[in-house]
Amino acid sequence: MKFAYYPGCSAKSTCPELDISMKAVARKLGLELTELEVAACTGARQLRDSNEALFLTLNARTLALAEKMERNVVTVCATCLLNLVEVNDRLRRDAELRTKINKNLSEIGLQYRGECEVTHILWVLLRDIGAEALAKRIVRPLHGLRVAPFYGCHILRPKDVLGFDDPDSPTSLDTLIRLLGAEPVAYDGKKRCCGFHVLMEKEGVALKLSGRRLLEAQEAKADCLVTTCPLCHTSLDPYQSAAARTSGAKADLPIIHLPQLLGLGLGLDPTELRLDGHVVPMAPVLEKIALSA
Amino acid sequence: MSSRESVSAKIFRYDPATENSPRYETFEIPFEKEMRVLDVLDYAAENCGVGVGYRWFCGVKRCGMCGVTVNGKPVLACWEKATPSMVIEPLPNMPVIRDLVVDRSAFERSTLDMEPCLERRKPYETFPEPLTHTDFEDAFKLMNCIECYVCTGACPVFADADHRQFAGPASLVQLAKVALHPKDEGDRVALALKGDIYACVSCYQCSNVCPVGIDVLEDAIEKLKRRCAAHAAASPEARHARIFSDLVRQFGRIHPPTLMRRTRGLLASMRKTLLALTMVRRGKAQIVPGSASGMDEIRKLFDVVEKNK
Repeated sequence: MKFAYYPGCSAKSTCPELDISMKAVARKLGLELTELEVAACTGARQLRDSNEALFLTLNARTLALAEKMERNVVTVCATCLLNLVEVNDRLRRDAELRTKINKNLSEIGLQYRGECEVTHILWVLLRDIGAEALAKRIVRPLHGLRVAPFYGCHILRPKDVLGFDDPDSPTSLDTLIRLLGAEPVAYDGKKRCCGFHVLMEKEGVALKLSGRRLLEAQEAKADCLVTTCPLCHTSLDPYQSAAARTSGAKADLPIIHLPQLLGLGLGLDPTELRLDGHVVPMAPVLEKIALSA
Repeated sequence: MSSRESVSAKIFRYDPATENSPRYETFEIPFEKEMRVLDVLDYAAENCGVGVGYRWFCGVKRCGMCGVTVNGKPVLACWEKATPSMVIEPLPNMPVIRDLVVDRSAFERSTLDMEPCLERRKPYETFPEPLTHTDFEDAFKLMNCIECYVCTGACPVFADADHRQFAGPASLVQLAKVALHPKDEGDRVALALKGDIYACVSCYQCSNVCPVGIDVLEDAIEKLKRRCAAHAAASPEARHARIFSDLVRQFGRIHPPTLMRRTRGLLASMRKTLLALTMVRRGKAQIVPGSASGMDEIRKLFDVVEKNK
């Protein structure tokens, strides 16, 4: 399986361990990733909330670059996923808009055709590789590990454009955790918001949301929490102590990226997965599965 | 009616005037085909000898009065299908008057604060005025809103952060409905900022629960935010969007420390020094911004978009 790989800004700055572990896991699984190194930021919420034409044009460029490579795009960021899926969807449905955006792209010698799909690594694992085939690759089952799944808003909602999982009772990440031999923790916060998108502008609001998520997972006796998005990871890991303080509580919950958790199951070395690249130490998790960093 | 099938409804009961805390009562109710949550509540009230408090008027998704929470999801009782096992609770984020009846008045006041009436200053040019479907399209989508406040019940900005300065999604839909009207001349940016629109976390819970299928986030809130951004001086948050965009132009991608410094200023950013140092130590912050390659093309597109506006 070959993909155009779009890591997103966060995996290239705040969460380099995500980018590194994704590449390690891809090598192990035989996924051929060619990084879209020349692609721009998908605009998070800020660009789409402020300059729609630019948001559409920059993302259409990224999609057109993948089309040129004749590959589908895979990303490790839920917000990038939604932005790219949505631009693809809107440009495919609206010929007038497509013409307008292609007029912009023609100035750099590119054309968007709507020929590639956009997917997330979680979807690739369960839909393209498949649970059964993946299960055969698990050489180090994570028995006894209680993992809180944290889906992230933009991999679930809006359902009509994403469509992979049920936003009201999502199961995909739970399935993956079970497949790794670990135990998915049931808690109310798994489909809720981490607050990241107002972290810069309204830190107080953002931290209360992430604080609630951390405490919910901790009360459910999770050993760690797994994210599908580096933005969720950022509000839950580096900001963890500040977030917990907003509820007058303390938190000590390791936050692991999806490719890192999978990598452990695939038998990869903790250093290869950069498990030391977090603010909240991963040591308790490694102890639980009888590994030391 | 099948004699075997039944619905188990665990219903929230609470009378703040006489009780210290809420309790739940479970009723077994005979299931009928196409039964709605409202039918279950009717049955419990009429046949189970208990005066469950709930509110409804039309029963056909028009009046917006029967919002409740079913198995954790805010819905309209009249439209939501009954399932074999349900926990029925009041809408979140609003004080309980009794049982499933909530006091929406704080949010109704937020709606009034958004002054959701068309404001015309110039005299009509002709009568009737020429208005096309396309002119109307954006506002029209929002005219389906039945003001049920189910979206506001689903909003984490209240549930998790209790941030009451925020007008909430339902009130912002009412604001957007007039703001997007082609003939409106009111100062809607000022009102959106008064409703603290940038407290919205873009989680799509409002869009996810809307009983009439309005994409609340994209078709109302985001369109208002775009209008706020067009008046960049109007607020620090709109300025932040501008800074974000400038960073993409400069580097192709976001360099978080630069974004923070430019948004909050050097002094306020210094308060994050300890966190920044920890992040640098773990390889989670780069002091010098890295660029995407292909910057020529990215900058060119910024110019082209500006030119073709």
